[in-house]
Amino acid sequence: MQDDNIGAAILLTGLFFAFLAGSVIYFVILYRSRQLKNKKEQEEREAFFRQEILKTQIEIQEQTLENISKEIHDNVTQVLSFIKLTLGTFGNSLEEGRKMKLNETRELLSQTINDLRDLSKSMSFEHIKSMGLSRTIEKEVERMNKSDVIDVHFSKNGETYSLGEQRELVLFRILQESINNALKHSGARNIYIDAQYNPKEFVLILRDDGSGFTPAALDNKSGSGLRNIENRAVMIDGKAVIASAPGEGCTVTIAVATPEMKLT
Amino acid sequence: MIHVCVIVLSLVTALCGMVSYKRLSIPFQLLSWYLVFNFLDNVANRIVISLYGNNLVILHIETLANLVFFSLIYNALFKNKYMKMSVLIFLILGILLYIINFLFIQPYNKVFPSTMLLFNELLFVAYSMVLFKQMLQYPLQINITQQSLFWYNTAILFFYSTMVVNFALINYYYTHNFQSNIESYFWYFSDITFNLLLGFAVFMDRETLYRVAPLKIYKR
Repeated sequence: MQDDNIGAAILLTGLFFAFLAGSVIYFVILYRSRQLKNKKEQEEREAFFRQEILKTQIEIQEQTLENISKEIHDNVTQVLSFIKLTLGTFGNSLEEGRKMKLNETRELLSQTINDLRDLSKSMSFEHIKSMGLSRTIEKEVERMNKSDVIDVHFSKNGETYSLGEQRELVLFRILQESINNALKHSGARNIYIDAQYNPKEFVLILRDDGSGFTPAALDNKSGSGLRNIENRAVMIDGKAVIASAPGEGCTVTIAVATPEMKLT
Repeated sequence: MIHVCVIVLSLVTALCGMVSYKRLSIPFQLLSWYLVFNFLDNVANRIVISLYGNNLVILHIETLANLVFFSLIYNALFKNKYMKMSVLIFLILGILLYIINFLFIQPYNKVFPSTMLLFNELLFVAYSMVLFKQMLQYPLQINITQQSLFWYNTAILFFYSTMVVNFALINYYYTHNFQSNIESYFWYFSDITFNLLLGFAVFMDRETLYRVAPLKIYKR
């Protein structure tokens, strides 16, 4: 009888310990899941915060560019035009040799005014909005080619459609930054831009024949420009892929779903 | 032999607490003082038993000391101000009950302080559960096995809940006149595990540990 009771007591004690251990294990599992949930939420908050900062940066940048563009268009080019006109009034009173030099100066001024107008247009959001992305890229390519610094080749596939003002603006700024990077760092002689208007997504590919680099080996400062491109693409629900290797140039591919696709 | 093991183990944990005292957070500094007390208590127990044949007086003192130490530790560990207040109220209530019990119900030289022991056990088990809940509300981005709080709270939950079961066993054997040492071994096993867990908690604790990761409240 006593042995039976001791056996029962041992069994109950064992069950008690098993329950206790089970409770602690359950707590550990629950805690781990809370940790993961917490971490995920924190990452989401940080990503949202980064996007908000980027959005603000872009807004400030656009505002600044718009102001500079207006200043160039309304003030600098107007003053230059006035100078050109004033110079024209001197023409008749000068001897032939000086008159030729004056005309050359006036032509140079005309060219500068045109360049400044082009620059103003490429900076202005309003201009991009009115022309659309494809036409803006064409204009930018023309402007770049006129400068004789680099050869930019542009090709377009598919029927053009609008991606929305904000998205087109962001895409154009990404393109400008990528061209700028190629000019500044790669020593490229050619840049190839390909805009693919596919039914489901718009793909913008920018390839240069510069020195290239190893993306993973970039330091924080150099890498931040590329991360900026990726973050901007994310901001318009797109995806940017930057591929490069030493001696093989760099290719930036940005894919954005078409507005209809996004809705569905 | 097992008594010696318990004393040596309590000495080791007490030393561990004292050696790392400066780097410990406030609750674990209190715990390290408890570990010193625990060692002295274990030694005193053996002496008093060998002199008087029982350790009733020591048990009465131990019960009160445990109530004070663990209440203060939990008071420091809880974040919720109402819980902190509740701990203090229960501490004052416990001391009053202790005095009444000590003087009138279970006199220190005659009866085992089972009432107060049971009060402590239930109270500490409840505290440990509330602290586990708090840990779930404020999860840290540190592996749980590296958190001193987890080991401390597990020690409390384990020891005091097993003590309730141990009491039940003793009462059952006593009322049925059974002769067995099982409850003694049960107690020794629990006490050794308790000391090991508390020692490990003190070993793992760092004053900076709970400042490293941001906390977040989960509302359900």
